[in-house]
Amino acid sequence: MTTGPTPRELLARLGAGEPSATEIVSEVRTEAMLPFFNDPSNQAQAGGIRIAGSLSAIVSVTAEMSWQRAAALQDWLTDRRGADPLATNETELAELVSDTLFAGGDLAGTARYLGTFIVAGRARRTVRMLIGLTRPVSEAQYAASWAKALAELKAASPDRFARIRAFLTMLLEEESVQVEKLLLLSAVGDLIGHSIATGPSGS
Amino acid sequence: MPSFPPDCVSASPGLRLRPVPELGACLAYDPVRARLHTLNPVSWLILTLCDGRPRQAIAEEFARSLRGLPGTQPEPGAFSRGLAQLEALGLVATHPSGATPKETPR
Repeated sequence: MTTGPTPRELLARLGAGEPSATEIVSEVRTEAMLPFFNDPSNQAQAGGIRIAGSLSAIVSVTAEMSWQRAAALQDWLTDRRGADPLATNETELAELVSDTLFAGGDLAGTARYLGTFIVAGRARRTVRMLIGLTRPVSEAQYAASWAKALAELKAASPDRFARIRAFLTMLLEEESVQVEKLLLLSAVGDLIGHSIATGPSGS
Repeated sequence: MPSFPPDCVSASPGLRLRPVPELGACLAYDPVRARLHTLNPVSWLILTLCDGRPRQAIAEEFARSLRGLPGTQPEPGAFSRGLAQLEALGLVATHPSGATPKETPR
């Protein structure tokens, strides 16, 4: 006896398509098989994260939220778009970040959507969206690129804009939201020697 | 007048099914071969219908089950392709009418 939904219930939710039955073949993975930095030949292998080149920074948008709110975000991310089984709202968001942020300038292709994660700690649960930046970008440039990308999306595809806006609203309207820029510590220079512009000096 | 009894199809004995709705799939473990498989909902539906009925009856029930569902419908021949996949993986077996499986999936 199986537990959970029946196949027909799942089909009613996901829609029907071609049948697919595949054997799951075990494999041994080691750290050597999980390239993350500087391996453009193997971009798609690191847990679905596509990175060409080192990350210069990661923009983290973190919000504590109720389980129901997190579930709504999850539903949004996995909601399918069109007949393509791999096309979801999340892939649309990833395309927006990768293809549209900073488009048309020197920084084109700088941003990568890394994913939206749930952080389940002992004390709290938070949802975190991560956007990787492969080149140094100021906060002003980052904010301006979002404004430009969303304005262009609104003009070109109002429906798609409305979907993206719904997600950003759910995430950014939480009172607890924090937007942080994470810099790779090994790449920012000598902190003691005051070489990072944003940090306190040793004085 | 048929010369041979119709082919009936049953799921392999001892098969264990575990739906994983968050992945839109069902895992099927075959303890005889010690093999794990992932089935999308269409293949899962076909497998659940393989309870010893004749192939034609399964095909008709499959078509009935998909009727009225939202989204893309499978291409013609999807049932045959799906059943062939399950047979190739050893998840279902064909037998003459009257022979019943020893155990249904659980």
